[in-house]
Amino acid sequence: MTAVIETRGLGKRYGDVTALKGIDLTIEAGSVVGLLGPNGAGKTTLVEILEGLRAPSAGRVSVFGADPGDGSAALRERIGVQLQRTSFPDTLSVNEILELFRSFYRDPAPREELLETVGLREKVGARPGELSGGQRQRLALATALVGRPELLILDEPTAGLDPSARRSLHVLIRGLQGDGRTILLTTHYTEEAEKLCDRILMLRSGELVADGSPLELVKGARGESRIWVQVNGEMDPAPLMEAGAVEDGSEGDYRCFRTRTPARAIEVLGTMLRDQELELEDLRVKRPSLEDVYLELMDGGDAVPQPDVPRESEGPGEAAAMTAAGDDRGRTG
Amino acid sequence: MRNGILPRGLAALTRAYLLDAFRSKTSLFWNFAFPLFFLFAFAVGLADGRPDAVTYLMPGLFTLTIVAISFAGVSYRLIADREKEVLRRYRTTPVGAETVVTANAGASVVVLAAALLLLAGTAFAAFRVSVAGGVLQLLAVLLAGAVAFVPLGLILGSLTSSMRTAPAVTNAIFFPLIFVSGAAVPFAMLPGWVQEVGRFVPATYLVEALQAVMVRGESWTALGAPLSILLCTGLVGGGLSAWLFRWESREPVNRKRLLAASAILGVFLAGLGWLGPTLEIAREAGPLEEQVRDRISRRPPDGASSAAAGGAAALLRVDPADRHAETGPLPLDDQVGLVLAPGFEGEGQVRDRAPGLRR
Repeated sequence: MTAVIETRGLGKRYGDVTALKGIDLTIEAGSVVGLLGPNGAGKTTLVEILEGLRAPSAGRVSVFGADPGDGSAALRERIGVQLQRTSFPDTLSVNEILELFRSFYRDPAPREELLETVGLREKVGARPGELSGGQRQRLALATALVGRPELLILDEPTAGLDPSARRSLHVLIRGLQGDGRTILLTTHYTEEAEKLCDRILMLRSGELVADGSPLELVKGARGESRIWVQVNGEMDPAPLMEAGAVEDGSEGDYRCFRTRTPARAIEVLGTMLRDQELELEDLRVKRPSLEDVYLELMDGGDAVPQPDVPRESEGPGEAAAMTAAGDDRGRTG
Repeated sequence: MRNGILPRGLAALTRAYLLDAFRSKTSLFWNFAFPLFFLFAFAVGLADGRPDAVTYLMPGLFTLTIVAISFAGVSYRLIADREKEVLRRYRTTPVGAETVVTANAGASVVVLAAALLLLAGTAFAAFRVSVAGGVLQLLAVLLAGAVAFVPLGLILGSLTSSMRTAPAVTNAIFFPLIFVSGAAVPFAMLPGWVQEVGRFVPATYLVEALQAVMVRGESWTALGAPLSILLCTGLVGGGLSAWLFRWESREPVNRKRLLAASAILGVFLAGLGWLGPTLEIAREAGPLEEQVRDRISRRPPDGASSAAAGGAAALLRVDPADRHAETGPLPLDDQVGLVLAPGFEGEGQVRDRAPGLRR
């Protein structure tokens, strides 16, 4: 596998502000990489350096083996870009905008194919001002795809969209994977990155603080898992405690435990119930999610997964108790 | 998908700019309606709709239109495209800066040419304006004027930081330019020092060439010099506009390039000023000057004629009321004498007052 993107010690300063600090990054061809981080973490700065829109203050950067800052047309043929905010000439129709962008590339994708891909066939005659937010993002995506790019860089493709527009863009973006195409996208949404990406990079204050597949990141998290157990009698959880779990109150018929080693806890739970001749009626396990990992890294706090047992069965009092328990966890953690 | 010898994207981008110019209501108003408004204001207000008098106003009006559209319309659109980050999006594609500039300039020249044709056509149809020389010559001069000034508008657009400052910058250049070039007041009637300054300004040669064609009916031979000057201006301006082009607002103007461009422009304008005297741009007072004088002496100094006879001042967009404020409520004859042609007595005087221009 060849590296599509390679940076070494990449840094960017704006006056006194350091936007990026020594980023070392290698992205292989064919991967879908998500860049996560809060506002001001340096996501956009990083992708704009890769797009050749900004010059780094330090370090090296290469995209397809070339310096994106050179502005070479040959390199730009291979990269499709969706900017965080894309403006089009507002007197042109969707059709005319696509034709305009097609004229920029050596071997552009057919217009019909682009319209089909992004689902704007019904809007060919509309001007950008007449499109909804989601449709405008689709148009921006279509212009990013015009040159049949090997590398697609999408800067917050779903920002500001309602859930259904976001979901349909997710489907669309997933459909763009394959054919050895590399996709780099930035997002605020952990669930979006989890759904779309096979590799996630987390940026905090210009530094890369996490890098791995969604599963790897969650596995490496320090956060605790929660286990909810429902049995047909009185249970003595002492063996669980010995295995490192902590009892964390009860919710309805469920007894709750916290543990950093959920696999071990489940194993112990099985033997324990057999020994106590109890039957397991229900079991829920909640691992720390990517969002917990994210919050843990960004806030530097010890985030714990929030329970999501069915709340509709709970009375208001129990809900309040749960909140209190949650607060308590926050303090003890 | 190669477009022959043309750079990729040039044709489509030019088309996009043209579509924009003919679809945008703002663009339609400023490019087409506004010059017509001036035509009617001048022709009726200043020349009483008399064909010969309107004809004498046309060179100034054409120049005004060319300079206004170039320095406002063309530059504003460049600034707006940059501010709205339309250019930024183009930047991430294989299209080059030269292609964007060339397409913008090409489309702007076409739009400007169309605006001038409409203006000329309306003047011919509504006021029976005549052209002493050939119509072909007139069209050539108008086109050369557009070619000369559109790139200057693009340079201005590249140097101006934002739409907030754009009108101030444009006006600071526009009004002095219109004045010293003789587009507002006949060049021969300008004070000597203004004529001296005017020789450094390309617009002067545009006004001169238009007068040569429309009023004096001169041939290609006489037009050679001003036409070359205009085309050279276009060439120099075109090169510099591509060189100073900025994709993004936050990207500062390249200082080295700005210095070099200023030097090149300075040398070019100095060359104009040096060359100017050898070109006969200060003509004897023609019928227009006589007419203005005629009107001034005929009319009583009431408000209506003040607006009409002070037409030259109106061309300058100086409100007559302002002039009163500056010069005090002088009798109209004195007032116009001061503003239009101080010491204006006749042909000999004008020549004397422009020493060196007929060397």
